[in-house]
Amino acid sequence: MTRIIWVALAATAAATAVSGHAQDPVAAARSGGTVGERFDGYLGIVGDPGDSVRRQVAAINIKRRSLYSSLAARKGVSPQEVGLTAACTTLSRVAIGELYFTQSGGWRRRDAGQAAPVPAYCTQ
Amino acid sequence: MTRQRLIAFAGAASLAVPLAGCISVDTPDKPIEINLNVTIRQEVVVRLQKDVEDLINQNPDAFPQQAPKQ
Repeated sequence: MTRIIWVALAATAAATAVSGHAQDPVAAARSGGTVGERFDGYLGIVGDPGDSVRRQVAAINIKRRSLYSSLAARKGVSPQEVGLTAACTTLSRVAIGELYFTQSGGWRRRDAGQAAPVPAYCTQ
Repeated sequence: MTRQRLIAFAGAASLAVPLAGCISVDTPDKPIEINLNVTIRQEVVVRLQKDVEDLINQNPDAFPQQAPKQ
């Protein structure tokens, strides 16, 4: 009987470990409303998603800045312009319930039935 | 051969230098600040859009969970 309980416990622990790794923490924070896309092409933090997510967001933003900078150099524009253009795509992919940061309105949530918050300057 | 190698090395070095300049950040936890005053002209968006979309689609580590438009 004790053995059965141990096996069951081990199985539960294993399942928890697997499901814990199944979803990316930044993705979870995004659907949980502590991380969202910004109009400038970077990820933003709302409230406190915890140190681990905070670090991952910072790392993603550094990667993005590097990508924006190299494309900007190739196209003869500023990295900011690349970021603002990237926001056309990243904001078009904000899911319902997720937060996003607009240039004029701060943080907002995309509610059910609302269109994706694509800035006016973006071409469709 | 040596010359070819030298050219290849110089090429790699010239690529690596600007990249290193972008990546080597002393405090990775320092947030990238939001500048609310940035503006963009539509013609620039038009010129960049295709390349930027490719950049996003080809770098899922920098753009995680960016599922195609719903």
